[in-house]
Amino acid sequence: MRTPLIPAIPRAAMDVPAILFSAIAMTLIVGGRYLLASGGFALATRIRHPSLYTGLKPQIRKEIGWSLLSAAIYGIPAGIVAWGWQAHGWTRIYTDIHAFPLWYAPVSVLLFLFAHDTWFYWTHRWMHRPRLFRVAHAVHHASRPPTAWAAMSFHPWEALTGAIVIPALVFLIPIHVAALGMVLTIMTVMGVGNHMGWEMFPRWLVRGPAGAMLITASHHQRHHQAYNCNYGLYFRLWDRLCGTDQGLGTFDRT
Amino acid sequence: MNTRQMTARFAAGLGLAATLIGAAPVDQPQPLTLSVGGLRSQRGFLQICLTRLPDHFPDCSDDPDKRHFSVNAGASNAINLGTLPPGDYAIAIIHDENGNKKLDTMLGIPREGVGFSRNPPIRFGAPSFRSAEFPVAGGAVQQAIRMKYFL
Repeated sequence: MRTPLIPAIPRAAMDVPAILFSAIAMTLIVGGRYLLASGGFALATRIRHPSLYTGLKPQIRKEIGWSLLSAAIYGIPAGIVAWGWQAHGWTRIYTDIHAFPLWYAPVSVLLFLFAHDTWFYWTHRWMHRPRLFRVAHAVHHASRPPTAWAAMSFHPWEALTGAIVIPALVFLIPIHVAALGMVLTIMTVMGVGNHMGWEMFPRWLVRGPAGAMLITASHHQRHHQAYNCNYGLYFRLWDRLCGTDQGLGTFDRT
Repeated sequence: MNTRQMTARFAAGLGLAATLIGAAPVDQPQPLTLSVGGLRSQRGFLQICLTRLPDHFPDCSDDPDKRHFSVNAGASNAINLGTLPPGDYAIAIIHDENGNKKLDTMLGIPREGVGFSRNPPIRFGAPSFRSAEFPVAGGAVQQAIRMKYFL
């Protein structure tokens, strides 16, 4: 045994490995979620409309490539925030459902969707200005027509604008961890469903009073056909208020 | 029965009672030995910190008890960490390969191995004292630690 000295592992020395681990784990989760959701809806497409994606193989390959890159851009901020939540109690995510009144749980989901929709509408409109469109948004519109694999097919600049929304909102709006799971599920299902080239919701919903407020594939299809309208994500509110709502599109190939 | 015989009987009875209650009284100091596995090389030293104070784990630089040990990395089996008063302890180890007496890092990532008693998973940062603590009481204690390397 030698002269005693001072063995010190600073607490912070384990933080960077933990943050890296969390960011990598979250990237794998986001990428896996994309492959499962888009793969599932692509399979449903093959069953419902067997020839819808015929001849689109090269395009789909590009969509998957951009989407997996986006998975890292989404996963890193989400992983850092998840680490901070666990290690330092960051964010307003709560786990005791009774920390807020029960009615607040569904309200928090709507608040998140509304905030995300607002951010998306305005950044999306901004990215349709010619210069920014070429730099950031053209990749997404290169899907003509979009497929179920196009849900996360973004240029890294555009992916960044989408990636910071939920990680920022969890600092501002209290949300139960299960309600947050609900928000992420809706985000994933609508993101994939709105691009897959056919309408999965029943006609009475899409053409009825609910469809007048909600965005489904029929509405977003028109954005990919005409470019200068229908910018919204979940709700038609901003499009209607700003006069950019051009109604529902058509599915020529189905 | 005379007085001496009575005393002898009484002593024997006491001894029997002590045996029935338990071999060693729990407040006796106990020896602690440590075996370290998973070392990637025999180079340098194992800088070992043993503490019973949660605030000084895993950084025991200001621990008033100063239970610090340094051994050759080649002698990682059955390291004698002395005799300890009963209580809850935790161990943190650095595999100080270059012998500069500190944990070297690169971009905040440890370049030398670390290890903790009870080998808790490192998920969200340094393990808590609670996840690494082990009791010393009633008998000799042996701990086995596996080293972890990040770079």
